[in-house]
Amino acid sequence: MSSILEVNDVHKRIRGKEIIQDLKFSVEPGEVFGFLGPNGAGKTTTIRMMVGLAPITSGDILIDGYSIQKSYAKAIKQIGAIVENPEMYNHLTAEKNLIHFARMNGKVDQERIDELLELVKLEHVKKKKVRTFSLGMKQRLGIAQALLHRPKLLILDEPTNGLDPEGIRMVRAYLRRLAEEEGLAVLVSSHLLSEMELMCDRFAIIQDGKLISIEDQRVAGGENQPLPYQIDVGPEKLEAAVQVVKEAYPDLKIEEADQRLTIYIEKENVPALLRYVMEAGFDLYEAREDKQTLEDRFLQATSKEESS
Amino acid sequence: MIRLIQNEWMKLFWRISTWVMAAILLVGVIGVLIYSITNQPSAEQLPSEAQWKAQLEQENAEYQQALEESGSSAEFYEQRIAENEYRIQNDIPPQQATGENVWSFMSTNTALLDLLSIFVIIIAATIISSEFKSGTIKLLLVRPPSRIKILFSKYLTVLLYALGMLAFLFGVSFILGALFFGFGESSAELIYTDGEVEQRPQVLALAIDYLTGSVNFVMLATLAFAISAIFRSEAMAIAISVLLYVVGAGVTSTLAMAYDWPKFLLFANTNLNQYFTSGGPPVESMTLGFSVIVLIVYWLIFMGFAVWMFKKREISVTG
Repeated sequence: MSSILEVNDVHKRIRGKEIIQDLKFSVEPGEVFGFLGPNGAGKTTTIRMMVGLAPITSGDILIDGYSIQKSYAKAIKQIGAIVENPEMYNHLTAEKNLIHFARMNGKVDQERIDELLELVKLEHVKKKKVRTFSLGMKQRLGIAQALLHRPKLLILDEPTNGLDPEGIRMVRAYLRRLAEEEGLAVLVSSHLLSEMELMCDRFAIIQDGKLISIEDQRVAGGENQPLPYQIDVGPEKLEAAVQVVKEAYPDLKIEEADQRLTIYIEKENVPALLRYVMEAGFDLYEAREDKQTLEDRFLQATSKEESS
Repeated sequence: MIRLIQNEWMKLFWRISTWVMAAILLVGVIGVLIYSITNQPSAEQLPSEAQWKAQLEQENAEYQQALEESGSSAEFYEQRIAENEYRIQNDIPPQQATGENVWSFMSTNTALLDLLSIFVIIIAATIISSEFKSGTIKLLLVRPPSRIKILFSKYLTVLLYALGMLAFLFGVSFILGALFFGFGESSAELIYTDGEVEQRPQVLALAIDYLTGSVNFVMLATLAFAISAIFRSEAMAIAISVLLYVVGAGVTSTLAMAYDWPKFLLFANTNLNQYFTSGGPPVESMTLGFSVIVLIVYWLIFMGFAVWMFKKREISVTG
């Protein structure tokens, strides 16, 4: 499958200062891709380059194979975007706003407008001026305008910013549905990791304009890799337990940490291990997968950057 | 392109300020109407042919005397004398002897062109910067139409708006003038050039007034538009353009008394009316063709800068 969005070694320099360095990643159809980083990391700058609002210093960004720099019109056709806040024309009605943006992509298709108003549940207020809308309603209208021309790539900058939990849940549900049902590629940025974990298939972490890592949540949950399991047999018996387990599983990596035994083992072998430990006469207080959460990895990744 | 203009028109149309401007213009016309009605002399008060001829002759005697005494402003007196004589010989009564008609009423209303110009400047100055202010510029620019197309659709919308307002002013003046004053005897405008007096029908003089007035505000609107596209600041665009509109002509004509180069200044050329009336251009060597070329060059400079800046601009809306 060819990528919808390809970011190739993008650099961005403003007044001699490197804002973005060597950024490289791609987004596939049907996936929700996150763009995670603390405020000021360069997320919005990158998004602005993707949609042609800001020039790229070097490198290129391809949308469905078209360069945003060289074939702007063809590339931008495939993008629906909200950059920063969902700003609409406050003095126009919701419907007029959509007509406005539809005209910019060619013929106005009233059916499509109605369809989208229904999708984002705004058809009952379509004749109302946007001025009277709540932030959540504006955000939904923003999504509707971004989807008008059936783009292949949806770019949303901080889509849940300022929304209440219910609004956040709705946006998340929309995005997942769009990606799964329509094969849309969705790129969302956020500075909240928990957001990314809930919403995205994969996400890139950036810090100070550099790509730090790309996390694939679909792989992270895979079954056949050894995962760290922590076993608590009580502090006094820890030493003995480590000995016993090491004898039984000589090939596996075993550590002592936090007064617990940590063993890297495939999930399917966990029951046998536990049975063995208990039969060897140890009291088992707790056994759990040690999910080094993304939060840790995120902090790890970003703090590594800071100390270097 | 048509769709883009449709869009701009829709946005303009739904703004309250657009309608407030039209309303103010309407109030202005009504104000002029009330003034004209209350100051209109009744039929008996109008001087008869013998009376106004006698009056003009007396005026000429005074002018002649002033001309001999002062020596300065000779041109002014000579012109008035020549015009008055032409009126007496050809039986063309002066304005005050004919009373008001629809054309003279519309001619008075050309004063409202100043107001209209300021409105057009405001629209020109805000049509781009308001998109930046509201942040909608980002949604506007992440679409297939190129930035140049968007810029020109906005510029054309400003011109359309100006045309619309002009038609509104013209139409309202015509209707009200026709209703209240009728198509009575039309007086003719006299043009004095190099000692010759020519006669021009009032309707033609009026058309020239409106047309040349339009050139003036189109140029200023273009300037305001360019400033707003370059600096994104509507306050600056409005302030500079209105300031220039108010003082530009005065400063230019003052400079033109002493030097020759002010003829290349914008304001020496915006008032094309100077080639059609008795006043003449501020610098003698100027011709209509010269002014038109200067105006075109200014226009190209303004729009060139606007396009160049708008195209390369990095669109960031902070806050």
